[in-house]
Amino acid sequence: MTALEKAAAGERLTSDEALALYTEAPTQVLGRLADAARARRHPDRVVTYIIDRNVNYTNVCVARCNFCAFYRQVGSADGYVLGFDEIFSKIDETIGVGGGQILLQGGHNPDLPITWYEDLFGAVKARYPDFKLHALSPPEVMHISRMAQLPVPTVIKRLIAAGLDSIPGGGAEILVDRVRKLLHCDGKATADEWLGVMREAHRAGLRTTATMMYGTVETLDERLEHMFRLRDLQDQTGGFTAFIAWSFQPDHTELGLEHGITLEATGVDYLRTLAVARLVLDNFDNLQSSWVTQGGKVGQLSLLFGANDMGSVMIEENVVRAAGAAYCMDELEIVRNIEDAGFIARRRNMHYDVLGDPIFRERDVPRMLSLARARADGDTSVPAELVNYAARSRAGKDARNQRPELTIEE
Amino acid sequence: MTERHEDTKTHGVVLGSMMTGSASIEPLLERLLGGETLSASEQAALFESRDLLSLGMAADQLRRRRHGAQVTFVRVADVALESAAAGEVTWEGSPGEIRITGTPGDLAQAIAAVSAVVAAAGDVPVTAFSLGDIELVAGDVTAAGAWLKALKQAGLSAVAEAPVDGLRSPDALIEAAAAVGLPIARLTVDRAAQADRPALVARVAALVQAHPAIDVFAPLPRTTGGLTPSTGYEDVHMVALARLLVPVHHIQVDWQRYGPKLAQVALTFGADDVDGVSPRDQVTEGRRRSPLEEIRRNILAASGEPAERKALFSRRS
Ligand code: SF4
Repeated sequence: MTALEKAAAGERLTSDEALALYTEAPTQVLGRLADAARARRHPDRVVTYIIDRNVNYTNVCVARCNFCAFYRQVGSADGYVLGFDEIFSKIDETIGVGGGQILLQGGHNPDLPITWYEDLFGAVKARYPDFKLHALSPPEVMHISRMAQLPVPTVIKRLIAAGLDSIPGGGAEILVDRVRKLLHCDGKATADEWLGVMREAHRAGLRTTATMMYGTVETLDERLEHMFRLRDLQDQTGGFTAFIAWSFQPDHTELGLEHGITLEATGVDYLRTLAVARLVLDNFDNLQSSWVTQGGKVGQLSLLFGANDMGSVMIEENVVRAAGAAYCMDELEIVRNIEDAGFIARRRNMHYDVLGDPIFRERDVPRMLSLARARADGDTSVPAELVNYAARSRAGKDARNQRPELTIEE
Repeated sequence: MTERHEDTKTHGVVLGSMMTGSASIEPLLERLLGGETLSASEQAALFESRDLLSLGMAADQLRRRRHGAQVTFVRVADVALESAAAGEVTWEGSPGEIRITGTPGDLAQAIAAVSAVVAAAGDVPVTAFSLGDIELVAGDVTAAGAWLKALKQAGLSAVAEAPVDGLRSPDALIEAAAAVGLPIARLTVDRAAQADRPALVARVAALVQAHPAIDVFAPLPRTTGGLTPSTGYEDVHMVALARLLVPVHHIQVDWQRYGPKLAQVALTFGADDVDGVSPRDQVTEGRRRSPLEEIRRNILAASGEPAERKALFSRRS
């Protein structure tokens, strides 16, 4: 049987077969194969989406990945930490447009100890008992673990006790250490460490997503190795709900500015990669469209290349915007794109349980024509509650010394 | 990636067994690929079909029959009419076409603009105006014919576009342009609501058959945007149907108006030419390094062989 015949029959592909399809199959043929695989899993033609908000609680980060335009170094004037009240306001706005979850991720800030996360999660759950926290990608969990000098399972257990509901699959980039070294992200988590955190999360009963950021220094073989490592873990745990691929956004990044990778991977490359992912990841139910990096048009076309989910309305986005992508789709626009492509639009939660029809068909929801930011320009306020948490970095200690109300006894 | 075998036809046997809900258009597509003309109701069935991948595979086959792997593109410098008429003619980079944009208030202004740009353009062809605007401002076909003659004498290489839905007397205007030896660079569409598209495409097909000198059709609407912009599905659907149903040599997409990603995907759904690439040699600020590098890379990634051209499809060395 050829790779094409196996894919058409829905049989499991080897890495050689996947590579043959990736490199040789015409784009439309890959689309047809992936669309059939999507239809086998989702014969009802339902395409889902979630109303949630990307909240980036801090942009201060010691990891310094060279593909990232979002982070600021410790002590930077542009560095911020959101206050609990700011996060509550964002949750209120999210609930106002029908959302029930935030995707909470941030930099590896040495001045936020595990108790800050526990207190935040506890405070959110106290105010919004039913609201979900999809929070802290594996490298953030690793960072907290290192800072607290606690093993990852203990960190996960404590965060769950505080209110963590699920873990987003960020920080995976390409799960091959050769690539991670070149991207300067092996320090935040090696491939094994990323997968290890996910394994522990699944063991602890959490569901998680998985991502892939491609289009930097990796080969097609390495993209496939990434997919196969995810497939293997999914075989063991079944804990991944979805896979999301997006392309590296080069603007304002060290990789773009100093290493000359200034061109983003193309739209056709995205559709081919998505289609191959649908064929390889035969144990993943859901593949998201990355309209936030591809734009609404290619984002919509991804529904013909294996995606069955339009991802999130997002409301706010700070990370890929910093690197040049500035697309926005509110619920009405996402639903219009789903239905225009011949699918049925349904709202979902992180577990991909269908919650119902579009909210805007049930009640008036204001149009959202641009994504919000973490903070308004020029807002350098420092949250009052930081006084409760010891700073570890020299810059953090100095800042708190200049503001005695932010200094505590260690 | 360039070694990819893009002839989808050879994969048909395996894929045939996967057809879901598209069985009704397969025989129509086979007949089209066999050179037959479909009836109006059969064409309507293609417009109603949701099987975009089947449409795209057939459109891609037709494109490859005409052009092989070659994908042409042109770098265009836009010059505003008012500036040109005032003698202020500047552009950046290395265009293969200089295009005067805007609607002339009268013939004198149009001639002043064309003369000034032609004088500055050297051997770069100059195109200008919409045939619809010329018809509107000149008043009737006879007066429009006089405009076209005068513009040709001023050195204009071609009328930049003829919007099929914006011409009151399309046949007479196209004939008037041909009579004075002034080519029309492309047929375009100003607006195209979904419901109007079958009739519009039929009209374009008829025009192309009646006027074989017209060999370019840009099927995506020039007027876009608002709160409900066209979707990717609508755009690619229109490109594929234009390739399948309009017997024209080139199906063109606009790089700047539709963006690199959509334009590139359209190249796998029947388009073979990219208009409106930025003429700038380097982009020092903003998203990308070099438009020339980017367009070439995008064409290669869509399994095409990039070939830069000038206006009216003369090759650039
Ligand atoms: S990608 Fe995340 S971990 Fe890496 S520098 Fe940016 S914020 Fe820090």
